Amino acid sequence: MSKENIETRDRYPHFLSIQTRWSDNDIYGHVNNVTYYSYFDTVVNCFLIDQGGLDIETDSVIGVAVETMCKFNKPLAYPEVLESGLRVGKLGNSSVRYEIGIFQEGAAEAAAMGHFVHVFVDRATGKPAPIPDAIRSALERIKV
Amino acid sequence: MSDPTRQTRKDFPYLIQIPTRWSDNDMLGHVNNVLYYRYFEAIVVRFQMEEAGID
Repeated sequence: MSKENIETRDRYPHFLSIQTRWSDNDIYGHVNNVTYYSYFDTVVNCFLIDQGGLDIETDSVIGVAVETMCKFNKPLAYPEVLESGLRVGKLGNSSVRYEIGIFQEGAAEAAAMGHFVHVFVDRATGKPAPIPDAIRSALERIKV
Repeated sequence: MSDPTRQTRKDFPYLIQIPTRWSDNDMLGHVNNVLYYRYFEAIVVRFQMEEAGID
């Protein structure tokens, strides 16, 4: 990957610390590529719950993933503590594109970077629904 | 979804069956997005081992 395509810490307005787990490492001794997407789920949903007041059990809308992508720059391994950076790249009526960087603690350059697109849908009908106001204003705060 | 390039079964020369597991569903009752990448990994590794003889 060319240097200019690597994301840096200063480009993310929100961070969540993520403790890697024993089971994150695969037989090559690195965090398995699939596991990075569970870090994406973690940082996105923690943000929605903590900052946007999302109630994952009772809210009338739910966020469903329609697209995800990740580029891998440096290997990571348990027992490292990681930092996941989050910003919003695009905010629509019912969809939002999150951009995420995974960093070793204190590192300037991302070890991995990618995106995740959520579409909010009505929990009962599955039809796209407007992003609730409290969530939208939280997302606006980290929009770039 | 905006992507107009919908893939069909006939676009893929190699297919395997992957039974889903109880733990693949998340709390919304769907297979969690992360697990799809496990399925990607399963077919790539199976192909490498069975068709390309990689240990």
